[in-house]
Amino acid sequence: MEAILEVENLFIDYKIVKPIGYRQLIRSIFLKEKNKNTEIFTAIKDVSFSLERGKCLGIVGANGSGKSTLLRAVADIYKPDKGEIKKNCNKTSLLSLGVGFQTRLTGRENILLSGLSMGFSKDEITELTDSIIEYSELQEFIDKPVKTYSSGMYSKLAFSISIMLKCDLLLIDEVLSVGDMRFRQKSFNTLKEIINNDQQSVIIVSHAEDSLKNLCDKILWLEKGEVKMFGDVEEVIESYKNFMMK
Amino acid sequence: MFLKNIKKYFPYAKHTAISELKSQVAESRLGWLWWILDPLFFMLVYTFIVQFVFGVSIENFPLYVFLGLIIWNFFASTITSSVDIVRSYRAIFLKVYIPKYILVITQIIVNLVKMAIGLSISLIVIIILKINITIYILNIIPIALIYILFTFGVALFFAHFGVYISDLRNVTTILIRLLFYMSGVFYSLDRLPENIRFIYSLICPTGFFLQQARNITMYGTNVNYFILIYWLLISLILIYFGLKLMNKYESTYVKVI
Repeated sequence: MEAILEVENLFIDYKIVKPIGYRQLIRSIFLKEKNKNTEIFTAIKDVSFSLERGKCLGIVGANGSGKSTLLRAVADIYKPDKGEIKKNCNKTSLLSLGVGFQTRLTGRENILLSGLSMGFSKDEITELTDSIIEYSELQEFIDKPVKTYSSGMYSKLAFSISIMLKCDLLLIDEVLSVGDMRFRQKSFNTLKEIINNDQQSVIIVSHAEDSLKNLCDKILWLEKGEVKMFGDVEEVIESYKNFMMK
Repeated sequence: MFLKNIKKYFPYAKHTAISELKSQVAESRLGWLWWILDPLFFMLVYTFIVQFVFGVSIENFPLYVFLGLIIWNFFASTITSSVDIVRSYRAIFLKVYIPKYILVITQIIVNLVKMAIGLSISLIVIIILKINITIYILNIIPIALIYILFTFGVALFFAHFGVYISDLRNVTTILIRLLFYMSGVFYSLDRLPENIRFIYSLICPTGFFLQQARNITMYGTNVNYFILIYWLLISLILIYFGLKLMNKYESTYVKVI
């Protein structure tokens, strides 16, 4: 089966540049004083893996092991500092907590803008808007500014947009437990459907190992930015659990 | 590459601009009337100060100032909002890749709509006042185009450095204020000697554009094409280097803020 995503020897650095004041700026220009505010932190070290079309990959690891950074790199938000990300798909959608909307605008406007920013045409989005609103269960709140939403409503809308607009590659960052219990069950089932059809591929970052066992075909375990294990679901999750319990 | 991205992301820029205009209208009681009321009240203030306090008289002075403010505001608002544009769209950039200059274009569209409304009103006033309109008024199109390009070029640099230098917002406020007083929004550049006026046109872009816009609309004279082309070249150079700078550093923007 063809690979939709190939990541080869990927490195991502964070150059931690604290925003500087103009005094330091002038000093660094005129006195050639080295800017002490820069330090380099490598969040992803030499990571390689591949994902086949229609499959689902789970990523596990402790907090700060680089899971979110890896997803953002796959979504083109961070450029690789070394290595390569080869994608064989048109549209990628990244779903993570609390990002993605302009909070001054209404939910409906944000649906349009999210879709456009992902590369869908206006007509494609208009066609799906009603089903997105229905899935999100927001009802009349859809025409209120997003800043008035609760965090549950925010996540429900983000999830509905990502699900309904059919992207080839869906990246989900710790949002499996979205909303109330009913919505959680519904979103879990939809996700399962998406994974079972062969069109869309999914990468899930999660701490809910049981859900991962249920959804994924393979698991990637990151530890301090490096691949600790990559392969069969049961095997990796068992080792990961044992490692974390120690 | 640049043109391809413009084509790809223009619908996004357009609809972001529309939504932004809509939300500005919705957030105030008088809505879009403020886009006119704001320059109108400043017009009254400057008219009072210049004509009654300083006793300088210019024909059709209120229109003179109003036109000046409308054109000046386009530049000033675009630059001011570009400084923290990346910061204010952080939530979007953490979700999806968008070339960062698209946001600068969004701001240009927003302010262009406001300028267009103001210019239309000025035109109506010109007709009411029975000021002679000549064929030269068509030059408003090349002037506006180059003015937009120039603003875009400058805004790119402010958007880029605004990410890294937290004090740039304060510095910008001062620079903008300084340029405002230099640009002859509420006084005539005819007070300057002829030879200095030429040098002035080469170093003060906003002053030059303001003067040309008034010449073709209120005085029926032609544009100084030589200096206009000079500013076109400067704008293209600014855009070229601004885009280069952004392309190189934009993937680190979200890591900084």
